[in-house]
Amino acid sequence: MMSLALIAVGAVVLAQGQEQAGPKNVANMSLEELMTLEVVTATKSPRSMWSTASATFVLTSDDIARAGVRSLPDALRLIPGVTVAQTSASQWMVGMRGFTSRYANKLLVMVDGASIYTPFFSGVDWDIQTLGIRDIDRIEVIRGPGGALWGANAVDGIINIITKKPDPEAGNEIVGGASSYVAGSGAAIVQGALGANAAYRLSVSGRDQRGFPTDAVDHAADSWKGWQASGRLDWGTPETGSFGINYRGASSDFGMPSRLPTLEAPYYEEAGGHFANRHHTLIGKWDKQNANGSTTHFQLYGFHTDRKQLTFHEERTTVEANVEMGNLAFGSHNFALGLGARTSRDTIAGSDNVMLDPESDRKSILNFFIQDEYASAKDTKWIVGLKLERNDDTGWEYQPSLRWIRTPRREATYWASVSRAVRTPSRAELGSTINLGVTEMGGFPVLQQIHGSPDFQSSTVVAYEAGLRSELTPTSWLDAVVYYNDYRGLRSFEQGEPMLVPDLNPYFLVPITFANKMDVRTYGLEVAFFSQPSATSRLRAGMSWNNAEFRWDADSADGMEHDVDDRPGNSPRLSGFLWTGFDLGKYLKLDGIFRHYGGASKQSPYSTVDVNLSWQSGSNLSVTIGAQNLFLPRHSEGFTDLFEVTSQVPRTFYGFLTWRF
Amino acid sequence: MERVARSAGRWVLGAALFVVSSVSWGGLQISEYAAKAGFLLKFTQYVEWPSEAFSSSDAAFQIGVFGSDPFGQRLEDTFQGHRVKGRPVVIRRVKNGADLTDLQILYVPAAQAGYASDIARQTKGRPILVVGESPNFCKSVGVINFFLDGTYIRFEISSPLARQGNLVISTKLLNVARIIQ
Repeated sequence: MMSLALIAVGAVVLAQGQEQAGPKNVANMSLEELMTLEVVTATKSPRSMWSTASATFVLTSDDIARAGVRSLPDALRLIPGVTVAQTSASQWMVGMRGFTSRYANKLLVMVDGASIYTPFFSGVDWDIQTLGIRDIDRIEVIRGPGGALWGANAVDGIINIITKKPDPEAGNEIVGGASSYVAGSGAAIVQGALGANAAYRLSVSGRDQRGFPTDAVDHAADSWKGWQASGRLDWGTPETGSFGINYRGASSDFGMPSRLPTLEAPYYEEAGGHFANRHHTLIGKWDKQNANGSTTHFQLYGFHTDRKQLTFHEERTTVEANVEMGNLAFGSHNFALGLGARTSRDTIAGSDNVMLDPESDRKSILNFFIQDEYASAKDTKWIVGLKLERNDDTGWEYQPSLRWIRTPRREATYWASVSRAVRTPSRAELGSTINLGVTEMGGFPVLQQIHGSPDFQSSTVVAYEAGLRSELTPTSWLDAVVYYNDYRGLRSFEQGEPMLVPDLNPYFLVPITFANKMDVRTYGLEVAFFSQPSATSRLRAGMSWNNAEFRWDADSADGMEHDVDDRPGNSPRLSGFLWTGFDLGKYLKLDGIFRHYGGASKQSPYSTVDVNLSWQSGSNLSVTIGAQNLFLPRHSEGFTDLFEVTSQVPRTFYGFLTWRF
Repeated sequence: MERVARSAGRWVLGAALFVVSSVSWGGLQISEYAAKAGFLLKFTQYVEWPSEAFSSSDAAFQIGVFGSDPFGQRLEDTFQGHRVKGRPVVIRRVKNGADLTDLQILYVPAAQAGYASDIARQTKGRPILVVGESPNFCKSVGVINFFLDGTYIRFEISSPLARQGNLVISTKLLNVARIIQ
């Protein structure tokens, strides 16, 4: 996958961070001692983090295990610069660089290189994507635009979740656990070799999550049950290249307490219910390293989603094909190029409060990218890239980037970049009617109704970034990034003249039309720090700060606040974490994570602590216990604007057993 | 006020975790290439090169790393202060097309496996300990190949290739390796 070849990876820093025996000690070891050393592999990524000109980070499966994390969004909390808020037992808001909301719409999220956001609202339904946490090999994150390599929507950043390859040596695994809010959870993984050149991995996992608390009740009606099954077959030799087929099926049933607008006082009604989701993904890929060092990657994937919720029922089938070639060296130039096509067909059946026009649609995308990495001097590189993408709604979009990186010595790297990325309109923006809410004026109900518009255009960003990575001491590293993002044509809500609707019970209707009349400038700082103070302890810290300035076109009639929808007022300005881990002797690992989430306009700031202790007996059995939000009985993490009633995130005690055989 | 106090308390706790984390316990983990550098040093002790491997009696013991170097400074650090077979050690980075014949050890990183057949052609039958880290490396290219067994480094040794190169490998090394006949 191109992403692997081209993004650079924090795993190296971590791995370097975990290096506890120096070369000097190694030189004095016997052969037997060397054989018993546990190694931290840094070589999964073909390039070291020091050589990428973008803000990147990798969270490994080892990190996830150490933190005791049991869901994908909780894992994302451990990545510097990613903000995560849980709004109910099954719903999350995930964002970067000031755009964190339930309907965050400028993030490209992929599993194994296949995008998982829905073109319905250009966002991710996280409830269906909390794959078996044990299936995740690592999570690669790039903050900032990645449009020159990846497709439209890679505006604020990219999250690529890489699942584990079959590993016959690692054997099988059964996990079972529970928590104060999970009645039961479990997973089973079976893997092995098929002959000399093939291997398989089968996994099933599931959980039964209880409802989260609110001010009124201990368990809101947002309980959530889900399971997932996956199967993967990899085969091939260096001569034929490696082939892989990967199927993932997920099914979940989640509760969604909501408030829907009505035209009778008090102008809303409580609604809810449990809704079923089904999701199937099939990915086929072929990778080959050619004799001259160049790589070829071919990937074909399809997915089918059937998602019901209170106000709509979305069925979607997407098929995508990509071919990419990398590491094509010509003198001091190194080229990568690729071609991709995607088609997505959907039917979105609405309700009284959400209507799509047309109800069924099919959208296709064709794209092409080329990138040249030019080594202008021994320690300096220029990386120029361009992606051209054609979609059915806005035609051709261009996404160029220029990056510069200098590594004057092994311990320090400086980089800077300018890039342009595009966010294409979602289905909802092009044609929908959404009842936002009802207020009262002079005894008449006033219905605010949002309308999509076929004239809605793409939003663009031009991002200026600069970064520095440096070894501070032989056991500590710093990664700092500053950015200035200039967004143009973001979604505005243009309020029209109120109209009296001469119904049996007359009411006023205020039409609100989606338009592109808002510009936002954001700037910020992201810092990650790693340290390995001793052979058995480690420290990691992440911090991000951002600020946003808004500007509307002169003719805009946007009446919305800075904190609605996917606007930066909904995100914390400051957030960060401090994570310490230590090995207590040979069998025990203790980790403590302190997290701070700064306030957003409707969200008060909070700080919290998670603690995880795991005990590994020999190689078969391990026991993990921990507490999430140890000192906070319950707290709100965020709010949504549309229909959903949020609940609070409780303190949770958990435990699970893992048996390997 | 209560909120401020509670929030402050949590920061204090965070700071305490920070301090506690600097306390150390036993156990040893290591980066892959630091360990591999250690193994290379051991190989120099458990392999005998024929005298024709060296251009003169006082020539240096030369180790080459082919193409982009995953070791960083670790090979130099590991071999620093060590002599091999009574000779000073020289560590070189060699490019494709360079003359490999005066090397005693040639390391071929995984990323350079595409050059395997070129390397095999140049080193075949010569007293060069070619070490790799790629699948099937020992079948036709090099004498020793590293692989990972979970989190442990293991290696395989090709007896036929060692014989062809006139290299004598100590049983101590053969005992812990997977032997490819």
